[in-house]
Amino acid sequence: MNERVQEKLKILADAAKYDVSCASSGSDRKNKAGGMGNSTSMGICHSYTEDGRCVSLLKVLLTNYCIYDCAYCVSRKSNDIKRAAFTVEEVVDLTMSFYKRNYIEGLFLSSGIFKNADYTMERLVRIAKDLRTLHNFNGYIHLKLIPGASDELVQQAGLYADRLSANLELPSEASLKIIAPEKSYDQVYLPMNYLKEAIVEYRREKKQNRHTPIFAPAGQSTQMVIGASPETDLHILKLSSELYQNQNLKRVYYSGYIPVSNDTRLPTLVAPPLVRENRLYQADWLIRFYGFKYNEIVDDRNPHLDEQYDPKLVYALRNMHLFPVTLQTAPYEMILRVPGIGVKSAQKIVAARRYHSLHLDLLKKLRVAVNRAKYFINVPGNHLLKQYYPEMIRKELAGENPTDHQPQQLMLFA
Amino acid sequence: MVVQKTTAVDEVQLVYDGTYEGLLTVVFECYRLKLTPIEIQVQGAPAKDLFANRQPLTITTDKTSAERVAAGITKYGGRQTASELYQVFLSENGQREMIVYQYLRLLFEKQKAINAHYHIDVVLQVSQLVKQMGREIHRMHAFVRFQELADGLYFAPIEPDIDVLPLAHQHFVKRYAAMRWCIYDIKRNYGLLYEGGPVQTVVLDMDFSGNTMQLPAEVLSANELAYQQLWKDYFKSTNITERKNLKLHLRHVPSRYWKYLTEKW
Repeated sequence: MNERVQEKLKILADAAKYDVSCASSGSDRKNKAGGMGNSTSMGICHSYTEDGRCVSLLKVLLTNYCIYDCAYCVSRKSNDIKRAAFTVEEVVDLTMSFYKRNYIEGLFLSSGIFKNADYTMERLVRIAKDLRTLHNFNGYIHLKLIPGASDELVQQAGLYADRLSANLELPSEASLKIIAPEKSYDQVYLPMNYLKEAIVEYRREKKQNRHTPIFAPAGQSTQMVIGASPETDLHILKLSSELYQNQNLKRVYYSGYIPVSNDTRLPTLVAPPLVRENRLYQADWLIRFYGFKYNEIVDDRNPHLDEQYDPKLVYALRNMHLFPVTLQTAPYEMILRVPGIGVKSAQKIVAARRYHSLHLDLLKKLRVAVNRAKYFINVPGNHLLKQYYPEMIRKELAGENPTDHQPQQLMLFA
Repeated sequence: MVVQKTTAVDEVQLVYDGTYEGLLTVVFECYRLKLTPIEIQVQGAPAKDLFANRQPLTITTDKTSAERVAAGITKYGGRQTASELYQVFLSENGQREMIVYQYLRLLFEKQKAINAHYHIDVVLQVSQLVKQMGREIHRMHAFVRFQELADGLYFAPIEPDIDVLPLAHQHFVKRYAAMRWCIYDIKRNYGLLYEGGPVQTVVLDMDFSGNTMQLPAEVLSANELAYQQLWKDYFKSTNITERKNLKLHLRHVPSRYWKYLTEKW
């Protein structure tokens, strides 16, 4: 261990941090005899940075040398920054040493592109393979799919990694063409589609032969930068829905654009669009866990998510005719749509009402956010008799929820 | 003058040995002798004033009785209930014995799982305690930080809010099956040592009074301090200063854990 590794780690962790995915979930790889580690399906965040993001994986680039010049990227060719490259052994040693100390759940490895896509991808796969085969490592591995990588390498990556991801980078191909002219959606969709088919194939084989080697058990994810291009939230959520449905993605990550260059192709932002990013994640959650369709959250008349209130509340206010929901008898799916009731509360409500009639006091004891829910539910003990209009609720709830925000300064496009 | 509270003859204060088997025996004896306990206490624990003038009844732990109660729990409540009640027992809640007792009365009366009867106080209490325990166990899985000693043992001092090592350690047994390690609960002064076989309980005579739990260099392996430094560097580099949000940071990493976290030293 020497100062050179320390220097490299600083540079290559700093360059990797804009990839927001840190999930170590979705895989339940078991440890083997004499082996090191395992994965838990719920994942573990071992720490949190001062920006409040989870630290679960050692997230580094293999190198930040890159032949591309994508305007949004800190590692772009034309950027005058320190460059470094890890050796395979260095990444393996850092992963194993951090893992043994319980600092991390595993490795998230990405890279700048040197020489060409396959040359880079091959090295990423080598590291995963060494960890699995030479070091008997059974912790979590997330590998980046380098755009344009060949099917053979993607196939191999799936054999060693738990999760793989190919980043769309921007929410539309038109924007990608402007900001990252050397990249195309095709380059991203090719490995993504190949992997989708390979995973389907693996699941099918697994049913017939349980000894089929594990293949990408935690599936694949993608990421797009938000606020660097003019797409609406409607456009973004429609795209995400399609990715979940057609590409079977496990996660779509939204990364609020942080100015890393003065390139004129990019907007000048006063601050990263963190509120918008937060709202997109909330909407994404509604789509994945709450049974919402994207066009119930945003539509042509409301193409952007509300900045001040969360999308579930906004949905309820726009659809007052569906409320109040009678909790004692309503279907689970409808209870899930009540603002202030989350998945766990909804499950508890459905379980509890089989044995006893519900009451507002019981909801409080079950830690339902009653202050928020009370406008939308019909339950004994809830004495909101007067007719509420959406605007009145908006006013009363202002500042009630920690995720409510005051309207922010709009971003300026240069 | 203290007013003597009138109680029926069968309402008693019970004392047991502090083990889970002991508590289950207490439940068994309550059924057998038709007792209604108003308080169940560990032997030697300071008596509460109100009952100081009454002689408590000591229940002797009996394995067979305890097993019969345990079998009943699984029969009617399933494995989940069995696990939840054991968690309540470990929760260090002041009323834990009475909670388990009352819950079991109800379970044996209904003769089926009562997990979702949230309208009954004791059921709600159990679900809340189990949630607390789960959170603390998960924190231990996250916040344990091993330091490699000169002899190759990986050592982690830690101070959980609740006594969760008995439940948290299985995770480490699976994950670090090929390592020798010890996780030490400083507050309760015992640790679990794993060297390949079954986990052993150890009590160490060590001074953990420092501001951080970093062990002195002379007991550490040659590379340990270098790896600690690398981890600290990584933690700093992976932060995005433009997104600084200390409130969120503190919510996830409460400051009482900092002295155990390498990245916070």
